[in-house]
Amino acid sequence: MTGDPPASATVLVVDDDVDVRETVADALEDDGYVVLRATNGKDALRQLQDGARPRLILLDLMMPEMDGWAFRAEQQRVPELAAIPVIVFTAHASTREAAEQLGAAGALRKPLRLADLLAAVASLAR
Amino acid sequence: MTAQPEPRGAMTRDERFRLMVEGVRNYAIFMLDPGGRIATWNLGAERLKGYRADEIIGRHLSTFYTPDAVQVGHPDRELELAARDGSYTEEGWRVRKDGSLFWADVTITALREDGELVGYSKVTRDLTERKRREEALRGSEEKLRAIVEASRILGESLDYEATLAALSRIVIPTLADWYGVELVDDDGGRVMVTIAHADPAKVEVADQLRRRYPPRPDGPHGVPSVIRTGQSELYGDISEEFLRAATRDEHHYQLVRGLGIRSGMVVPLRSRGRVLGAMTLVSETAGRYGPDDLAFAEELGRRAAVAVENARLYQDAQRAIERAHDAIRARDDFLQVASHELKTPLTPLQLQLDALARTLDRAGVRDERIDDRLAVATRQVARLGALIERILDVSRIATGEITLDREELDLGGLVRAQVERLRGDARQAGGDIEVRTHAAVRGRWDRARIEQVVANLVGNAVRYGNGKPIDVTVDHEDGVARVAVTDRGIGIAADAVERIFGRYERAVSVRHFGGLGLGLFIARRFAEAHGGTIEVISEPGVGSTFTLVLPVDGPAPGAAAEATS
Repeated sequence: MTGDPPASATVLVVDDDVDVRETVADALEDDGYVVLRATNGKDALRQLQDGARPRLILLDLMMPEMDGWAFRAEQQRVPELAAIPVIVFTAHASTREAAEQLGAAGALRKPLRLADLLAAVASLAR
Repeated sequence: MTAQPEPRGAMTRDERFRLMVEGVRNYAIFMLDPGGRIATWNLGAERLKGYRADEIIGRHLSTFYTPDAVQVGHPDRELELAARDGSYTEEGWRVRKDGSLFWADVTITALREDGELVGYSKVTRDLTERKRREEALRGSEEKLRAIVEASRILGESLDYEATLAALSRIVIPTLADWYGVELVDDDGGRVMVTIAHADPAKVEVADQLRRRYPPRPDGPHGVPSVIRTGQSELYGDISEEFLRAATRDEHHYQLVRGLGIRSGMVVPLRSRGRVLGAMTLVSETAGRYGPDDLAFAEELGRRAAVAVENARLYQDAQRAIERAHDAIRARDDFLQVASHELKTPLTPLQLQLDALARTLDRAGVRDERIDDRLAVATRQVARLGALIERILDVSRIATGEITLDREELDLGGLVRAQVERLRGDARQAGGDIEVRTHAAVRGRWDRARIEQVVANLVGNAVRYGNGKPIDVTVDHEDGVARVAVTDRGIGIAADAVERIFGRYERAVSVRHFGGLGLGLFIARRFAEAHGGTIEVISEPGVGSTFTLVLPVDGPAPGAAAEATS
């Protein structure tokens, strides 16, 4: 199903809800990924500016301070950061539409199954 | 009968004629000398003009004319024309001895002997009554026209201040020199909506007057008292004494006097028993208004009041609708936020269930009992997610914000997948579901929405199908795809068929069948959002066929989303 991710495969999980963030992060770590955690878009952006280079970003959309859309806009202004693929995951009604608007590599609708999460991450982070 | 005896004595024909003329009572018949002075006078002339023969004989014809007519030489002109043409006839105003006017029908005939002018005969009839009737008729025609025109103007727009102002066009100058409307505002204060006169300079004076001497709400006359009492007021002749009594000081008096108001009417604008304001019509001619005019003004006032009332009711209704819309928007905003908040905990919950299963798996302690319990928990999470989604759907439908996420779909495959999910329930109820797919039916539709519609139709068939077999067919014809779901269940009464598509409606009691009652409502709206519909044929006790009808030709690929209204 997931195969063995490379040792360096790092995923940045951006979600303001601690339970969502930690559950997703735990599941990914359990599957062998290195996980960075960010509580909102601003936090995520700062980590990237500080030099973090994850293989993939899992991005919630509705967050305080800096939401997913604003984060995406900032990310795309810097070519080096823009190259990092993003999976949007949200309870937002039209997830696919939002993903298209944001030029995201994938979209996951909350609530989601672990298998779907791992498959989506593996397809991009491997 | 005996023959009329010959008059005694040597009475000549002329003599008899003279006696006859003298006795005519309804016509003034008299002679003028060539210079226009009165030579003879009959009884009719005395009755008509009020002069006795001894008072008038020898005086000039112009005695009977108005000063204006005399000034322009009208009497002499009449004689000239009679002399030239043989006779002259006209109708016009003449003056009685007491100074009053009467409408005269006059014929003057030149009298000649051997071609030489020896004088004139003049026959005059009093047509004042006829003239009055004609004028009254013309006046009432004018008023009727004004009422019709006023109704048209008042109906043109809901901007009643503008339409009330526009009424000045029809009352000035034929029915009044001044026209004004004041309305009572919500606080009981008075607002001057319009004041009009043919001469803008006069309007300016009236405005100044109003600013300098604002009318007192407890004033004994005019607008204040009409608004207070709801009773019309008619001022046939506004004397200087009246103005003096009604004004506050000399300056006030002079200003008011300068407006030249001589007669007037103030009528209430009354609708549904409430006085909304007052309308004022003022003339610069004394004695201009009588009871007929007051009745006209009252009618105009009634129509104006109805227009004001209608416009205000409309505005109230608009405001109520806006408030209702605001409340609905607030509710939908709340539903969006609330459902997002409700869904958020489901994500870690489901992921934790899945992680738990994996942990147990790895520890090698997983068995059938644990699997069943995890499956129930997972199903309940999905169910909770779906319920939240239904609530969101209803709110999106209410606000017209259904966004379709179209993709290329194989309808047959989609239907089979949904049927498989429900087959267990159908078998549990005692029946089964048979799916027939005619050829491949493909189109661009929103997968999640169409899955939901199909699941709803098949789910209803299982639920209300009495445990009998259910048939599902998928086919297409003329660019239209159809999914027909037929059960052999309880059916739906004809009068309930439309109702089941309503929000929160079901054709059976809530006690026996739970759920939100939103399924068909949402299903039909989703079908409609795709340009399709849901058709139903049903017979109580026999069963129902629900058919999802979908146009195959969606919008071109690339147009992924579209909004519906």
